[in-house]
Formats: sequence, C-alpha cells, structure tokens
Amino acid sequence: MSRILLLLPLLAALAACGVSKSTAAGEAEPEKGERQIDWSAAQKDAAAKGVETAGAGLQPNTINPAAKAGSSVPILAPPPVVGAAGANLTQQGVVQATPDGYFAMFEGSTYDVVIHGTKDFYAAPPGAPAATKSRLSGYRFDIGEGQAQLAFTRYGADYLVEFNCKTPNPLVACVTEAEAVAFAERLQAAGR
Amino acid sequence: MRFGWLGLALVWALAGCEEIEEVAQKLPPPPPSVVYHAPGDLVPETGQGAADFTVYAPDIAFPVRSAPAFLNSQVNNPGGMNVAGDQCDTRNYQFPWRDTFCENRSANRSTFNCATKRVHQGVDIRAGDPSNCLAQRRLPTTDHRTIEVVAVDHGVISYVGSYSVELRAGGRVYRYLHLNPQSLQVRIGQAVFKGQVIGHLSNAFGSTPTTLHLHFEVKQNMEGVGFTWVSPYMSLVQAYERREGRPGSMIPRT
Repeated sequence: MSRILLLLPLLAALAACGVSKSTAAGEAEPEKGERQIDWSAAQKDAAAKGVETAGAGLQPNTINPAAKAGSSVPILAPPPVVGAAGANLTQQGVVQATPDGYFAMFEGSTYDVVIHGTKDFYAAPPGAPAATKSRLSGYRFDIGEGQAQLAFTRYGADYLVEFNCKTPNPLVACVTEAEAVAFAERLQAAGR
Repeated sequence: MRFGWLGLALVWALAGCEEIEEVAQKLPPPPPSVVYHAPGDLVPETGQGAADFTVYAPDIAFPVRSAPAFLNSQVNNPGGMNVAGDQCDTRNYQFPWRDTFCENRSANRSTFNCATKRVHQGVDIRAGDPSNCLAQRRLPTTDHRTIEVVAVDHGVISYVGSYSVELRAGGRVYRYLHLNPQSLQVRIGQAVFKGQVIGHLSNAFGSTPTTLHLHFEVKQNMEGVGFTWVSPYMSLVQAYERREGRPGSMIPRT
C-alpha cells in the first residue's frame, strides 16, 4: 500500500513534466449557459391545440439511453398535415432526446427537415457586435451549403430547423425564408 | 512516517523534473505539429477573413483520424476554380494551413462574424499526400476508403444526407460534407463517441464530384444569435496539436 502511495506523487510529477503548452493555449473559449424553460407555456399551447403531449404520435428513438429521460426542452414537431410547399414530410420521423434537449428528423421529397432543440447556449465571444449580445428575437434565416436553416427561441429554449436539400444547388436554396418561417410557425409543442 | 516518505519522493520527483527540463532545453526543439497562418488570414484578395482566435469547440478530436491533414482553399489553390493546376499538386499537401472561413462564395451565405455576406461557412481539409490523392481520384467515389474521418465529440448522429453527416453534441452541431456515402459507418440516431470512425474522406457532391476533401462546419447556439456557423479554425489547430502531441507554430498576419 505504501508503495502505491509513494508512486502517486511520482506519477503526478512526471505527468506535469510531460505537459506541452499549445501555441494557441489561452485563447478565448465561449462561456456556456443554460436556459430556463417555460414548461407551463408549452403545456398551455399544446392543450389549446389538442396535442397529445405524450408524443403526438411520434415514435421516440430509444437507441440513446438519454432518450428514456425525455427531452429537457419542449419538443416541437410538425402537425399531421404540413403545409410547407413541396415538403411532403413523412410522419414517421425520428425523435430523440439528447442530454441538452432533442432532435427530430423528418424525410421529405424536396428536403429533409431536422429540428434541434436545446437549453444550452454559449456567450458571444469578446469583440462580437453588441447587437448580438441580446436574446434572439424573431427568426434568423440563413442559407448554407446544401441546406437552409431557421433559428429561433420559443418557451425559453433555442431551436434550429434545418432544411436539407435533396438536390443541392450551390446557388439557390430549396426553401425560401417565407416557407421556412411558415413551417416553423406551424410547429406544435408535442411533449418532452 | 508515510507522509515523510511521500514528501521526500515528491521533492525527488520534482528535482528530476527540473533535470529533465534542463536536458530538454539543450535538445533541438521538435518540429511543430502544424504550421499555420493566423485565423482570418485568407489567400489575398479572396475575402475578408475573421481574425477570430476564439476556440469555439475546445477539446474536440481532429476530424481526420491519423493521416496528415492540410487546411487550405479548394477554390484559390492549385486545381481550384480560380487557380490553374491540379488538385493533387504538392502545394496542396503541405504546410502552412490557411483559414478559409469567410472566403468569398457566389451563393448568398452568411454568418454572424464574417464581414461580407457571400462566404464559406466552414473550412476545407485535405488529407494524406499527393500520391494518395492521385490514386484516389482514379477511383469512383464509392471506393474512397483510405482516409478515416471520426466524430469530433461525443454525441448523436442527427442527419445523414447524400453527401453530408451531422453530429449533434449539446449546443453544437458539427457538419461533415463530401464523405463517401457507401462507406458511412453511422446512421441517424446513433450515439457516437469522440474519435469513433464515421466514414471516409471523399469527393462526393451529388452528381458532380468535387475535389478530395472534407468540408467541416461548426454551428453553435450563440447568445442573441441562435445556431450559427462559427469559425472552426482555431479549434482545429488545437485538435491537431493534441493529435500530434506537440505544439504548432503560427505565422502572424502581416
């Protein structure tokens, strides 16, 4: 036993010798925070729309053990009939809880939709424009490579809806901002 | 008595540490793991880079498992759209790395910390060497299986498209483009661990192949902005340094 105790400080000291300092060490890292979720507002909305909050007919994917614990943010999912042009989403999507929230994926003919919900956020880095330091208000639409996306906040949680184009065109998105916003506004709170 | 021995051992070990450091100082320094231009120092005249030293995704694994890797432009390097030559040119497979986040693009893509609106929202990574590049490009995309690509963090695969894979890890989404679609080793909903092989670097890009490279993006849920693309550059520099076990060397912006 005493030999083991003797070895511990030796190992610690040798480990300290081996630490190499990165040239990039000490650079700023964004500070992480967690949102306070307004569950009562989500439940009220779900009740008003007659949504079964136990899952709204979606089949949770339980590959990830975290899924058993449910989502830590309200699950937003498309209603049975999705009106977004060209979407034709299948209702048998994947919904899976993650430690910070959930994601859901629905296949479509023009695009596949992935919805991310999270309670985790990161502080804007030093030097970021002051306007970005307030909470996100409204929708933020962006076009990416082979996709478009919409970011917004609801019930205190942050959401990202990605429209992954089936036939990517490097110059044109497969969904307009108006279609994306219309899609997001029809998303319903569907439990946790 | 036991603590006396412990203290003695600690003093001896620390003294030994100093000796090791003295010897190390006399040895020639090891070559840097990576030589890289400062973040935002793009190829001249190719855009307004973000001089952003923020390590947005600290502690990630480097997305290429073991092959030598080179961050540089697929458009403004030899064999790219704007530069004559061949994609397997030796200059594309050597240091220094170049940032390509915020590099000019024709499509209307933007993100919060790029000064202009038509930009590249990730970075491009070549891997291997020119001879491997030459051998791979003679093969169909589906046969590209030499350069392993790994999950950079613990998380869940949230999307698999025709040439894209997405990894969700907390308030971040990592996006991998141009992997060989026939050799993917993950499916939607699968939990993965940091360093787990997910597929192989390729040139898949729908019906028309691109150059052999991995396009890598980090989307982060930023306060007041929401999920948006952030520069992966310094996170990848640090990840490569960790992978290689020694520091890199930055070329300051002039």
